Amino acid sequence: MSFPSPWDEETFLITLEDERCNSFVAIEDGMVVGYCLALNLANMVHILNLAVHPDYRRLGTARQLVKEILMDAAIKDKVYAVLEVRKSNVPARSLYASMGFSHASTWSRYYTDTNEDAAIMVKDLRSAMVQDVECTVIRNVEVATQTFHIILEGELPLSAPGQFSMVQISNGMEPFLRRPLAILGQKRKRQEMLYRIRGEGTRILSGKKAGETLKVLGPLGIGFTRHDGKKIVYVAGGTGLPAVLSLAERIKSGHFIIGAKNRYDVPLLERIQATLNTEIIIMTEDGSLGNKGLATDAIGDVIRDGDDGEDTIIYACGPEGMLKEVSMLAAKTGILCEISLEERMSCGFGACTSCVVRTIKGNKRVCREGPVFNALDIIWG
Amino acid sequence: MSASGTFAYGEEFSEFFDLGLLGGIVTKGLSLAPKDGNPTPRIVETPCGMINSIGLENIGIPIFIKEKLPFLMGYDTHTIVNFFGTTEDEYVRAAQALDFDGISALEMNVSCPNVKKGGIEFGRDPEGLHALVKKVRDVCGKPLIVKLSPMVTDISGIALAVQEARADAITCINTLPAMAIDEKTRRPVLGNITGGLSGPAIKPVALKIVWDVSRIVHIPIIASGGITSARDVVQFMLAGATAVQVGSAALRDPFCYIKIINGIRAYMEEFHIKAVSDLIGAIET
Repeated sequence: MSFPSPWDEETFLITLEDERCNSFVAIEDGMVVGYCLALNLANMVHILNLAVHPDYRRLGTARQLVKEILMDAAIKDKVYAVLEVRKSNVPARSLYASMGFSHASTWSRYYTDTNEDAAIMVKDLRSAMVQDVECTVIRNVEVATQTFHIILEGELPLSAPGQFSMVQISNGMEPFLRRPLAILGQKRKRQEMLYRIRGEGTRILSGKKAGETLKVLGPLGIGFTRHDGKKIVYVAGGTGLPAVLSLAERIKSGHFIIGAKNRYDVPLLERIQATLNTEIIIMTEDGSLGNKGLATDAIGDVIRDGDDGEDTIIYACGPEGMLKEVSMLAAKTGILCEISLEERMSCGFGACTSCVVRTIKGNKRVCREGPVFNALDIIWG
Repeated sequence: MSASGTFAYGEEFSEFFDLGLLGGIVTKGLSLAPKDGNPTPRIVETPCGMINSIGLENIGIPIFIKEKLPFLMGYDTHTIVNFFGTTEDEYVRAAQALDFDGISALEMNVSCPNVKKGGIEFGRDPEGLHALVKKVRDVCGKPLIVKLSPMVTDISGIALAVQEARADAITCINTLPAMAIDEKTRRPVLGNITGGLSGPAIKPVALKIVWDVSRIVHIPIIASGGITSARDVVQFMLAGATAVQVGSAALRDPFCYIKIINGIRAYMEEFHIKAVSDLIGAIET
């Protein structure tokens, strides 16, 4: 009852007996209400047949069946998932598209019963694709002046240091846009961020309690590049801390410079000290913690004469003035320098071009070609 | 279909869903020569919407045709190219330059509020607009859509002028001129000082204009302005729209197109509507 021309029993039996065949059934109310058949081929899985009983549709059964096939294929190190679908079957095409399948080609008049075209859809199982995931707030507490540490849990794709997520604050129309938050870290299903209250959106976000849900689109942007074997200097100013810290906590070695207004302005210090096996230098504008001065003042002490671009790299994120100064220093000394930029965004995935930055290669989108750039590429205003 | 300026040239959204599910893709506004756009900040959020002042940044028609069009042609959908010029001659030459296989229709932008020259001033005066559309019509072999500004004294006169100049369809509406000021710094928020308001905040304005225009012209109307849901789509169709564009909503949720398409299907099932076209202009007053 799911197909105009269903497979006959013999075809099913032959397929199921094939050792390359993988099948899943969905059971509801003690009955089989759906099934999915797939064939494991060399480096791909071919989804042959998917059906759900009409009375049990729109319950996520088909999605779950496809997900099982994909998870099984990933375990078997398959690279691609492939399927064909009738052009007219828009619900199925939407389902596959929302699961990361893209339209690869059209086979004209593939279905001989109706002379209909088949859309061939393919999913690359290697790339962690951007997904919009409903997450539960696990923790959301103020850890420094106006700065909150939030932990979200959900079926999130893996992220790399320097990437960010777009967090939807409300299911209603206020605030209308999502907020870009740098990903501080990710362990299995949990993603953590640090954010400072800047306006209405982040103020509402700070009021979210554990157990509430938020939609998280990500991971987005291009993160930091790792350069093994170099002397590493991290420079984190103000709200730039999470981006730089995400990398430092992964690499663990190097010199970590934190710039802040005062001692109430340094979040998660105990944790930073515990996780980083490295020299931590704190600079505060009023001298209430660490040394008095700006983050940039400390760089000179870390980069000594003789250090050059061959064996040193600076990773920095923070206020524009700080990044500009760090970039100048990098240009002067020839030291490699990657900076993560912050800019007002609306989409976060490159569509609106509102977050552009001027570079020597023309306008670049902070959300798409960044947020991490080679410092020497930026044309400062 | 997508709305111009919110969908870039399609590639970004292809990572989220099959572009073939859309009726059409309307590209970012293109000009003959590439354009750098306005200084940042280019965006500010407002109650139920946003103001943008991108300033028609684009890669230029020749690069679009060489680098972006082949990608779009790989999808089972219609590519509609939004274009603009700063003089009548530039509009005409842009339309000529877009006479390529793989482009289904052209959408003429005579209503962008974010550039000093070109855009909105062309769209304000019925006689001038009639002359401009006619000139483009004479050289354009493809279906020609004209996108109108809501900021006119007589939208009916403008719409009629466009129809008389033999445009094939009208898009209503472009963004509304708007601004935002930071009261702490006393400075405008946007780098360009002013911009264009979009999102749900302008939906009622757009709905009224679609209704007004649909009663005066016989060519199809493409509605645009604050659509975020299938309910919005149905409302615009009842007001007289034949098709709809979704823009700002996709910046917030790139998957909204799929949700809207599925929502329309559910609405049709619930209210036993056989063809979606049965909704066009079916408002009961």
